[in-house]
Order: sequence, then structure tokens, then C-alpha cells
Amino acid sequence: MLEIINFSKTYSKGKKAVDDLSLTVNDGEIFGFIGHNGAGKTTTIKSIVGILNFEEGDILIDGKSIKKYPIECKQITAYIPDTPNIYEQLTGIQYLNFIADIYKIDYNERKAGIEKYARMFELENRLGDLISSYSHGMKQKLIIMSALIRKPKLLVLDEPFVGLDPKATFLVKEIMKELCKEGVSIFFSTHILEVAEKLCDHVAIIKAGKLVAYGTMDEVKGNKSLEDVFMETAK
Amino acid sequence: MREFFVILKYSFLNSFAINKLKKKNNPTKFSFWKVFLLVFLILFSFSIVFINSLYNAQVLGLEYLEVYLSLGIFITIIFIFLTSIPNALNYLFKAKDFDFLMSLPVKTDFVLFTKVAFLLVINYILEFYFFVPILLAYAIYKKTTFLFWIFTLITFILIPLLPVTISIIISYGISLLSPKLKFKNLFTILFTFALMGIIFFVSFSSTYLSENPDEFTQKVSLFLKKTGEIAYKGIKGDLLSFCILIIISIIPFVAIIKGLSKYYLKLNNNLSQSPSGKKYSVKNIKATNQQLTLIKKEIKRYFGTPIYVVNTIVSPIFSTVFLLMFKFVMIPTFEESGFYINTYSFFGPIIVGLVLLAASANYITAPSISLEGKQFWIIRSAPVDTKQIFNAKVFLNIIVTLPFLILDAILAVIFFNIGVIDVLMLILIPFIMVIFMGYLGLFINLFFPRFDYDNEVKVIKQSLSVSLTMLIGFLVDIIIFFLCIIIHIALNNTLITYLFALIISSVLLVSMVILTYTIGVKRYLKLEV
Repeated sequence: MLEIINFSKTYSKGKKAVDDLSLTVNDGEIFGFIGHNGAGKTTTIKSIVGILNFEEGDILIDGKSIKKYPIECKQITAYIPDTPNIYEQLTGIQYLNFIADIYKIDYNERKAGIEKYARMFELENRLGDLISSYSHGMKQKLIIMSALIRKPKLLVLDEPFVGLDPKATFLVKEIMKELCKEGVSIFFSTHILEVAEKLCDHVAIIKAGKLVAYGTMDEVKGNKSLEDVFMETAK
Repeated sequence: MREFFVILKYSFLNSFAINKLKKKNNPTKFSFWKVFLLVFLILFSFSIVFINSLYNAQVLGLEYLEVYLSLGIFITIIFIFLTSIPNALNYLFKAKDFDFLMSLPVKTDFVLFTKVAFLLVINYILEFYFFVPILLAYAIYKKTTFLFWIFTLITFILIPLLPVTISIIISYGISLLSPKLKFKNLFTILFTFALMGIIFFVSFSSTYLSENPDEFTQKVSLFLKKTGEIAYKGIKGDLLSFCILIIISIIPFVAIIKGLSKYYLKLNNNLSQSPSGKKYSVKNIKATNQQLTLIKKEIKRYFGTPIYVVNTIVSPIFSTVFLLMFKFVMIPTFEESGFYINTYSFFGPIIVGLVLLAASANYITAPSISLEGKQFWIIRSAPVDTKQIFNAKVFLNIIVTLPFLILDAILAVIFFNIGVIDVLMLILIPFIMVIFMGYLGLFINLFFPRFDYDNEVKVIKQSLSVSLTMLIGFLVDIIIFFLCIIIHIALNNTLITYLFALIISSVLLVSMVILTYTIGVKRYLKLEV
């Protein structure tokens, strides 16, 4: 579903944020992307979803290049950013409708999706309120809802558990497993290594823009914990 | 195309906070529209009074109305141009929703189109303020035809296109250059002011208002390749000019949008980068007291936001520009008319009045509480006295304005040879009013804060707090100015006039300080983000 081929991203003054990264996320797979602050995780994620342009390498979503076919790639991808920066002067339902309009979700499907996930995330009574009145966690839940109602083939999440209460965190993990069973691929970055260890089929560790470990969870951690492996790579 | 309208619809809902206006029990529900209407009526009234006085004076008969109409177009174009550069930078190249919009399955062109459409709407509002009152006043005194209104409507739609196109090109240039610079904010501020200076110089370097309307419209043509003249002639039914206006407005606009859409993603990516990489070593850290720390924070916030500086430093700069214009434009015009002034002591009160009007028209503190935004918690949770926070915000006002007042005093001594008392008053009276405006803006912002903005432009240029501060400040200044004129005419004593101005401004300041430190502090403690 997602193929990153020799991807490099260079910022001004020749500084490489990501250097020759290659990895593959198969259909129905949960992929954990781990690294220090500033290692290049968000740069990679933003490039996958078409926010950042890049010159070296390519990123293929469902076999199509994000550089050549950005609209087609974005249509099947849902991105959840690390900070819930959304239109605060809209109500929750207006925001969901906006996303549904952009992704051309028909009326019945959007209604069913909104009702289902609003109930699940306990937001049904707050959808008529302005987003500016929501807490951080509620905004995060709304963004996750907006991602789920569009039924993506690839879900890209940047630190999805930040700000969520324990119940919502559990819920998101369960949803991720459920989506995985339905064939949806999930690529997410996290600092919570225990979650990554339990949830992911594959994992990649990035350090200063370079891939330092990559494979199935068992291949990467062996007999150790993911935390131990991560700390060793950090040295 | 459907996506374009969807994004546009929700962008409008969000940016103009339409949900809030619709909300029941909202104390500010109609305030925005009331202020909007009030400002429009005031401008309309000024137009009527001005045009009526010229008409009654029979200076040039109805020909003067033509000057007035072309002047309206001229001023509108200048203001659209001046405000579009910082607006284009913020809406097109530094938009906070850029990442979000780019992650959607929508063409980059459509994202750009929605941003440009927004920029145009802001300019139509501005045009409505400046052009429509003049147009209505003109129509009251001069018979107009149906065709005139058709041409006017189309011209109204076309006028902002060329200034906006040029502003986009300039902000595109700034966007290309600034990521490569260390002090990109300073560069943006200086570049914008240099451009404003050039426009101002080109616009006013010739005689300001000629007696001959045709000659005046020729002067207007100095600005933006005769756009003003062409627009004026177009409205008046000159078909050739009208066609030229359509061509010069639409073709460059479409071309630049089409061209920019190719590089829009790359440009925004470049802008989000900041030069780094130098290793920092911790040394020479200085400890300062709370008050000084708060002042430093305000200064860094101010100069770190180019649009804040560009919009609020204009009034103190204008106080100096007024003096220069007075010396090099108005006095030569008087002398050309055979009105020689041998004694410069005549100018003392006039100069004090001009500087007072210009320097105290600033609103630096009016968005200062709102600008805390989502970071309001930092200052709110800090163990500092509310008065210290207020002091820091007002002090910023003084730091920005005082150098210009001192420069004004030096220029006034050099150019007009005014007396010691005049110099003292030139600094003292505007200085008191500047502090008064600082407290007034702060006080109003405490009652009309807006923390949930997604673009600083909305707080700095389009907030209720700023509009109210400017309106009240302007009215207070005008009242003081005219009361002083009345007293001066009645008593013919400059010293008494100065004393009156000094007393009334001091009373206003003390009242505002008391209000801010009592009601204002209580209000501040109730604020929530």
C-alpha cells in the first residue's frame, strides 16, 4: 500500500532531514515509525501525505506516486497530524461535513459514519458546538472521526495518542486493529514504545534522518524489549 | 471546481466567525455589524460635509466633484495596495491551515484560489469603506445615469485586481528571499516600508491637489500605470478606458495566479524552514526582573510579527511624514499662492496639533491581549501582578512612538524654528495621548478579546477591539483638536490653549489608568481561552 523508495528530504543550507529512506507498508499492516524528536518522522509523514515536496526518491501509495498523482493518493489516504490544528470557528458537525464534502462521501454513508464514531468517542452531544470550545483531546477525537468516516485505504498518524484519555486511547488502538483486519494499512509515529510493541506488525527506527532498524517487530527487537533496542540505537 | 467552493464556504464560515454571529445570547452578536455601519456612516457624513462645503464655497463649481471622485479612486487604490502586501504574505504564504488543506485531495490551484478569493473579499470591504461613501456623496450632488452605475459596479469589482496582483508579486519576492535570510522578519518589515515609502513619494511628490481636475487626474496616473485615471474615465463612460481597465485588471491577475499555482507548494515549504544548525553554547545568560522580562517579551512579540509592526507603526511615522509634507509641500503651495509667512511662531500650535493627531492614532495595545492567543495560559499562570502585564503592554506603545516624537521635535526646531514652549508641548501632549491610547486599546481589548484566531491579520486588522479603539481614539483626538481651535480663536493665547490641551489629555489619561487598573484588572482575571 505504501512504498517509500530512496526518499531524501533536504532543507535549506543542504541539511538533510531524511536521508535515503526506503520502506514498505503492506496491505492490512500496522507500521510503527519511531525516532527521537527531530529525527525526521514528521518530515517523512508530511511528505507521504503531500504537504512537503521533495526532490530525491519517490513515495508510492497504492502503486501511484504522490508527486505525480497527488489527488488520487490523497483521496485514499487519511492523515492525522500531531497537533489538532483545525478550523476552530466551525462546529464539530460542520467540520465533519466539510471533510465529507471534500472526500465526496454520500449522505447515507457520512450520516452512518458520523453517528457511529460520535457515539464511540462520546462526542454526539458536542457536535453542534464550536470547535474552539473543545478540549485538546476532543479536537483529537474529532480529527480521528473525520479520518475514519472517509474509509481510507491508508491511515497516516503522527503521534495519535497525545492528549487522548485512557478510554479514547484504548478505543483508537481497537479501531486500528479492526481497520487492519479490513485491509487498511496504518503508518504511525509514536514515542510510546509499549504501544508500538503491542500494536505493530512492522517497525522502523529512524535516527538523524537515517533508518537504523527496520523489519518485523520480532526481527527488530529479538529477545529484548523495543525500549532497549531503541535506547541502544540512540547511543 | 466543486472542491473550491466547498473550501471557500467553510473558510468563510471559519474566518468571519459566522457561527458566533448566529449564536443566541452572544453579547457581541451585532457589535461587529454596528461598528461596521457606524464607521461607514461617519465616513459618509465626512464626505457629505466636505463635498457640501466645497460646493457651497463655489471654489470651482461642479468641476470639484470630479476631483473628489478621482481622489476617491486614488485613495482606494493606494490603501488596497498598501494593505495587500502584508495581507498577501499572511494569507498566501504563511497560512496556518496550509498543511491541513494540502493534505486534502484538492488541487493546489484550488487552495491558492480560495486564498486569493479571501484576499479579494478583504479588499472589497476596504473599498466599500473608502470608495462607496465618496461615490454616494458624489451621486447626491451630481446627476448620474443608469450606465454610470453599471460602469461603477464593474469598476468596483475590477479596482482591487491590479493592486492585488502587484502585491502578490511583491509578497512572492519576499517569500523567495526571506527564508535565505537570518533576520527575515526585519527584512519583511523594512521591505514593506520601503515599498510604502516609494508609493507615497510617487503619489504625493507632485503638487497634492491641483486646481484643475484634469491635471489632477493626470497626477493620479503616476500611480499604478494610470489605473486611477483609467478607472475614473471608465466610470465616466469612456469605453476605451473601460476596456483598458478590464484588460489590465484581469489578464495580469489570471496570469499571476496561474503562474504562482505551479510553485505554491514549494514556496510554502521553503517559508516553513528556518535557518539553524549553529551549535549554541549556554553562556552569558542574564537574569532580569519580572517587569523587564515582560517588556522584553512584548518587544520580541511585536517585532517578531511583521504585520503587527507594519500596521501599527504607521501612525507615528505619519507624524514625521506630516511635518515633512508641511515643510516641503504645503508651505511652498501657500507661498505659490502669494501667502507668505514670515514668522514661524505661527506654526507652533498647528504642528503640535498635526503631531497629536497622527502620533496618537496608534492602536498597538488594542490587539495585544488577543495576540496572546492559545499561549495566554503562559502569562496567566505566571506569578506576576496583572498591573505588570498591563504596564509592559503600554510600555511597548511608548517605546515604539517616543523616538518619532523626539524626531518630530528636532525637525520642528530645524524647519520651523518654533519656541521652547512649543517644543515641550510637541513632545508632552502627544506623549500623554499616546499613553492614553495605550490604556484605551488595552481596556477595550479586555472586553473584546479574540484568542481563537487562525491568522494574526484577523486580530491586528479586522478585530472589533482594533476598530473600536481607532474610532474612539479618533473621536477623542478630533474633539480635543477642535476645542483647542475654539479656545485659541476665542482667547488668542497660545499658552492657555496648550495648558487646556495638557489638562484635558492628562485628565483623560488618569481616568483611563484608573479604569484599567480597577475594572480592567477584574475583567482580565475573568478571561478564559
